[in-house]
Amino acid sequence: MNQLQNITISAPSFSGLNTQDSPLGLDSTWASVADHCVIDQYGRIGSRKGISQLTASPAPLGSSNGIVSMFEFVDGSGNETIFSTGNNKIFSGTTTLTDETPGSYTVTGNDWKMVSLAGKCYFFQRDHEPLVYSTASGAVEAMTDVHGYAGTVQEGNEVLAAYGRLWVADITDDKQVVYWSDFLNGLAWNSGSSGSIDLAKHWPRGYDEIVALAAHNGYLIIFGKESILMYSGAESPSTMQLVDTTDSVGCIARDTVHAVGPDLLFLSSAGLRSLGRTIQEDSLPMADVSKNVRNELLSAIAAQSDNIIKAVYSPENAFYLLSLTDSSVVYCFDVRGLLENQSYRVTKWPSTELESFLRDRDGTLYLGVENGIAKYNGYDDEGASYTMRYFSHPLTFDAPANLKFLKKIRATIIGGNLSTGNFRWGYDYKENYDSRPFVLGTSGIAEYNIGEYGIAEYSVGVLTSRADVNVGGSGSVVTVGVEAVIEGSSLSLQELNIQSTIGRLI
Amino acid sequence: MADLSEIFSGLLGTAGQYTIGSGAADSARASGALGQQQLQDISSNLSSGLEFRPFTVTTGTGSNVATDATGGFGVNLSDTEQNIQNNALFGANQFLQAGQSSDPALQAQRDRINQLFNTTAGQINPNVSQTTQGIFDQLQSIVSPEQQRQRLALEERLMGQGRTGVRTAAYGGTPEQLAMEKAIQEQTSSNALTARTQALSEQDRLFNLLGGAAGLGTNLASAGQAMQANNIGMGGNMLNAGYNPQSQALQALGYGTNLSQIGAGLQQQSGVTQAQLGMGGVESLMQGQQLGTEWDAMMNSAIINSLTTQNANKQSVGGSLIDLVGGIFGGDSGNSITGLPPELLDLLVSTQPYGGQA
Repeated sequence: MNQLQNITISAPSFSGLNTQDSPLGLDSTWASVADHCVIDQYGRIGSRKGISQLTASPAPLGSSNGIVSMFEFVDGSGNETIFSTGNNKIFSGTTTLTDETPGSYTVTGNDWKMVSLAGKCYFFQRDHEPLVYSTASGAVEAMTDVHGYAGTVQEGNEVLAAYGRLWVADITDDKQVVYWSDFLNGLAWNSGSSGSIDLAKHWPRGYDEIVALAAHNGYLIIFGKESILMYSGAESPSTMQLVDTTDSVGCIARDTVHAVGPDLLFLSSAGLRSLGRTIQEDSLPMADVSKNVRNELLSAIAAQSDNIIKAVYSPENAFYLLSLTDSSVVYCFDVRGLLENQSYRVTKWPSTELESFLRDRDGTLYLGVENGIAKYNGYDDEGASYTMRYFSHPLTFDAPANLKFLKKIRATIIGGNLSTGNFRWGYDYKENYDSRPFVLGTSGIAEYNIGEYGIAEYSVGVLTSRADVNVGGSGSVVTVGVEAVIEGSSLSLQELNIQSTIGRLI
Repeated sequence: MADLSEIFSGLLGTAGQYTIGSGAADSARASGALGQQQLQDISSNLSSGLEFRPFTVTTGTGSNVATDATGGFGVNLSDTEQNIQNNALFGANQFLQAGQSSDPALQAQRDRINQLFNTTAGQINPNVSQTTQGIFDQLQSIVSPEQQRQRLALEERLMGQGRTGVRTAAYGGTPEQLAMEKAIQEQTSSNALTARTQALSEQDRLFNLLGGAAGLGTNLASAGQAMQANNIGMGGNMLNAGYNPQSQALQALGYGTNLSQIGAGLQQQSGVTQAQLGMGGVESLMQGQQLGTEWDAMMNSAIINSLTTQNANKQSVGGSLIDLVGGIFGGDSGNSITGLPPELLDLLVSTQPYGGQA
């Protein structure tokens, strides 16, 4: 008589999604599917938060794709203004989108990049005259109309506010030159310490085009499509020096460059990369932090027609989101730590079109969506549920040559008050999974001050549920999964126990 | 009817009258011819007495000047003086010939000076900017290699630092490039100033050289002219010296002429006096002839009258006339006339129409 075996997958998908390696070679900490999941603070796979619409009326956006860019401008007095762009307009506000587009100014695109310098907000977009907003003027104006403008500002697609000045690059027909403004004056381009640097002679491969700029760890980092240049001493641009270069790795999307702790993440043509800060070693350590989903990520990148790929780093959520709108997918990289293979744990949010992101200074994560601005908050998508899906890789139970007869699947789930879901299983790599539903219980969740003060919840009670279903069938390898409908409450998969009997050799 | 005597007397009177008148006219004409002849004789005497008499002046050095009858003269220098004259005239000829042309040695020097002048003048470029540019280019060519090396080194440093493409509003390029370009520009400015100064200095030097050459040329020209003038002067002096013996001889001729003029003056005075006396004698002769003629006419007329009136007179008319004339002059009657100077008397005798003797 075959003995019943129990396989426990503690903290399933602890290592996140892995679609890159051979399924049989992977242990049970990897997931083959981790949709609408995040890695929670305990290292468990859990449901992401919802998309909570803020904008009351999407009318200003018309039939456009929605909010393509967002920026939080804080003036010298601490006044905050959220600027967003879409439908060839510039808006302020979140719940109400107020058109701030200057009169008699024609906007033909929405991929603005906004930065703040010395009390002014600057808007740059390829082939568009830069715009300027200041609290004093109270309006967005063309830079040439602003008092104090001097020289010729470049209509670059990339702008960086760092080291006390604006840095502009990625100009049509001038993709190898970085221009910088006078110190603390983004309006002066031909006076003071303004200047430029032509990188034509310094690309490792002899030619490249600037895509993005970043200031990191005291360096000015210039991202080409296929190479990276790192300059030190950018506080004084006329004397800054090239300290390191990287060949064959560059950045393909301007808005994917974000500092994540000591690292700088950016999307290269080979996936998401991390630029380490170990400059003391006079090297430029890099890691392919998306190697676990490399191919599918590259496919999604390749499918992106306009190269407008947005990303955001949320320290509060400890993730880095990468949105590929043409594929309607968001990759979520958990940045709490690197795996043994120097990659981040990855989950994926399919069928999610997030046009843009903004993490403001208080940690709120704004999402640019078709209907305006939303917030990464709650556990529903504008009132609708979404399904969190987890599937393991095919499991052999350390006996790949034996048949397995699944008997029961038992899961320990955190949260998911009254959530419904399905256990899914299948054999021998087939994706026509069998399914058994489950319903999570409920418990008195202590909430405080809701409605009383109109402020956020202080705490949420932790609901722990155990759901189990009897399953059947047999096969040499087994794939199990959990699909949970997220509708108002979070859900994390704490543990998954699979009871099976091991059959004969096949 | 008239008396025959009367008629004869009348005819005699008329015939006498005619004869007397005709004789008087003939006597007057003869008297004029005699006067003419006498004057011609006086003139002949005077011509022979007033003729130039050649003389010779001999100086103390042995030279002489001899005049000839035609008024010419000839200078005969002594051998010594002739040698002096010959030598002096030869020397004068040499000097004057030398004075006609410049000294060949000086001319050669002047040619060299002219060559130097022309060469120097050819080196002077009136366009100072062009000269400055030339010197500047030379200076730049000297420093250019080092500048290029420095530029290259800086470019390599900048390349190593990834800064070759830096352009700044403050510096143009990098601060190092500005510093280098500034240093190069300072060097260039210094070179430009040096070139300008050097060009002007070079021009001054050439002008000074030119002026010196011109001065030398002028001095040589002046020296040549002075030498020529000196030669001409020497030639003149030699010429004067050559002619000096002759002048001295001629001067002696002047002295001799003055001395000879004393005798000539006396001779002239003698001739004049002789002429005057001859003229006086002729006039006296003419007067006497005229008186005689008149007396003859009167006596003939009286004879005629007396003949016609029967008064005869045995004495010849001539004798009567002489007597009459002697009576006039208070002398004895007869053939002697006293109280007259012998010359006048000779003249008077010679002018007797009838060839009378004194």
